[in-house]
Amino acid sequence: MTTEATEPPARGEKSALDLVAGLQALVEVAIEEGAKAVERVHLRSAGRTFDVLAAIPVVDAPSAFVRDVHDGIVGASYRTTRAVNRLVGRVLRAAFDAASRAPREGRALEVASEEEAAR
Amino acid sequence: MALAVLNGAIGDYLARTENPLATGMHLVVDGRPLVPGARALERAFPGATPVVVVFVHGLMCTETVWEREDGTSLATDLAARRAATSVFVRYNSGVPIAESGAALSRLVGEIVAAWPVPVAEVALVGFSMGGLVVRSAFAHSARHEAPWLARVKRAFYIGSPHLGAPAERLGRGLVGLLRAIPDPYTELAADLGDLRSDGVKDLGDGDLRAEGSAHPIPLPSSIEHFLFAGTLTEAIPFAQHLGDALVPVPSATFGAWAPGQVAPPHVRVFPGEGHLALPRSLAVSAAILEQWKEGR
Repeated sequence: MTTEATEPPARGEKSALDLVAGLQALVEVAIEEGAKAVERVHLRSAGRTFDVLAAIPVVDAPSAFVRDVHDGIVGASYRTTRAVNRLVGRVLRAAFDAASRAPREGRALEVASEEEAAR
Repeated sequence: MALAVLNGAIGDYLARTENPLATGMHLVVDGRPLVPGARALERAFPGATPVVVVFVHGLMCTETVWEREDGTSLATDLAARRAATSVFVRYNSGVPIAESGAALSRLVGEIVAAWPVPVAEVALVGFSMGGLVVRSAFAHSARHEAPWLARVKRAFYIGSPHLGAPAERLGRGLVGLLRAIPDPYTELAADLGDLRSDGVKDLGDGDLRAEGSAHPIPLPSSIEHFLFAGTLTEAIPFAQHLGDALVPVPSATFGAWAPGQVAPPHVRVFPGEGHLALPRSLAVSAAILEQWKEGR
């Protein structure tokens, strides 16, 4: 491999902030989709037991009530997890946007102060 | 390196969602991307020769896969013995192989057009999936009548699964089996298994199809193709089917060799070389130098 590579920013080159933002997006989707998948498994696994109970005449009515309560609580828990995840994601994206603008604004201030000094 | 592994595993998703972690096909010099403009290439390759060798890495790798511990590589061997200038590409090995091939075709075209001296010859060296990307680039450049294809005299495929990789086919079968079981846990496991990238899935059958082309796409007859395979050991007959642990010998040789047969001249089998050892192997390097001399 040869000498120095030059002329940044080149195609394919990513800033650290880009990479962190990409990682954040990936983690956010993983949590969102992971929570949905685990919720499905959770409800279906519990559903097997409730299906058995529903087939027993004595406990079918109360078990249906318990199932509704259970499914409601489970659904609410996973929805909350996803909502918090999305909120954290929005906050982080806003922070990344602000951080990516900061250097440009900093440079603009530097230029302005240099011009003032020149005057 | 972590980025290369991530791209290999889920790079198709990263590319689809325009995630900054997705690696686009690009030229790499000293670990940094380089746009192949005339000035940039002149500065990066001050001793550029008319013979350009393009190195294409495999799944979940970067160009470091070619480097030996002592700092030498096949590229330095070719520079010293065949006056060739090597360039390395890096790409997202998770996207369909045909997409990587199209991107490689365009990139090689840009390199040849902007190369500091007139290009007399382009050679391509692909390791593992990289060999399939090279084949796909040939098919793409032929379809689009890319002028660089006429400068290619030889291509080297090192441990490339031309006829597919059994490990991926096994994974595919396992996912199908898990999905067939009516159980939420096995279905979840199947969903996780299906997250593997399009690039990985293409490796199962060595599928390079694009724009309605047939499978398997043939090797262009205008080019000399050299196929290299490794085997973990010479002693056990089934080791030849096991190949270098990931690619069986018949697949790496595109069906040109089978156990018990004499290998044709464009095929070499390296006993005792595992898959990841092949791109750094001194024996492979010596064989390439020898075949380069014997070729056109």
